[in-house]
Amino acid sequence: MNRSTRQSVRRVLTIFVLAAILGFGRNILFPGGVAFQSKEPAAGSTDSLALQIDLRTGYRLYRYGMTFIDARAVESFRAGHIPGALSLPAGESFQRKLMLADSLNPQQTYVIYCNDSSCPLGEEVYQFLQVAGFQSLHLMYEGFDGWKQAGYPVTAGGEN
Amino acid sequence: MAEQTAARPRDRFQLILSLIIGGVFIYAAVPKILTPQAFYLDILGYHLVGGFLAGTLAVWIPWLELLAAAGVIIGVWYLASLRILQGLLSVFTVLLFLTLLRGINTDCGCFGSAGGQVTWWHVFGDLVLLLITTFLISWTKFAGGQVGEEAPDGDAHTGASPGPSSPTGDTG
Repeated sequence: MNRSTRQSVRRVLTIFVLAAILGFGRNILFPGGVAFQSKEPAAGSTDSLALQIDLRTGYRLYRYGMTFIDARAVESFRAGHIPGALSLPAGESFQRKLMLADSLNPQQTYVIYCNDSSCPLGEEVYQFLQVAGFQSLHLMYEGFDGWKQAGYPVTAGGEN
Repeated sequence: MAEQTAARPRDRFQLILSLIIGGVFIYAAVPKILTPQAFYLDILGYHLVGGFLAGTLAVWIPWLELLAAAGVIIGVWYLASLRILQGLLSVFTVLLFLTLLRGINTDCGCFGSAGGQVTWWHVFGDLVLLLITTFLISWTKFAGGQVGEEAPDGDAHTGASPGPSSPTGDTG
């Protein structure tokens, strides 16, 4: 390898390293980055997303086929919800919630939502599912109101 | 004088192509740097890698694009930057081609959310950019010295004749 080629290789590697430093630095220091875990999740998993996700990410997950969990009361669910979403009202009894969660797969990724960012029900359902052994959960903090406002698909009726 | 006159048309042409390539990659990189989560999902959509590797690519590739594009536009570490872009375009072209062959319906992730779903036009576009990049590399190497040799020290955009030393020391 001649001198010129060695220099070229060094410069390419330097740019590689600099890009890695900037990329991971941005990821650590600023919000909205990719969340890394110590254990590598299964291929196709979305476990490297941050716990709280925005609407756009939520919509991409929706198009990716992820299942959504509606933490609102059943009446609100029936009035309108994200297509394919499952109703798991935070206000239900613990036993009832356990029964509903029984139909879910703890290995699967779920996106939980409520009305909007001020609604605490999504966080409650998240805590419950974590205790129940679910590891791959995300909270779409802008909720159903934000989803509707953004013009994303909605449907009504049914419980699940 | 004759040397200077002969250098200018080549400089402008090289500069224009460099600006095009650099501009495209900066336009591609910025949205992905701003929303790495979205790019992460796009990577997952190709059903090739997942988890930690997908996350690493999502935070690393956009900055690689940005730095290499800046190098091409400014003319610093010009050849090295071009080679990185050439490598990226080669990988992207093959990846898009295989994705279409596999019948996977996914977003390109080329320009953040503006890229749209993968189509043969994306493959064609990447091939054109790859040709331009390869041409610029060959042109720069040929312009600086004998055919097949690395371009000597000098400003990447002036195509200056080889000299004993250069203030920038940039041979790419």
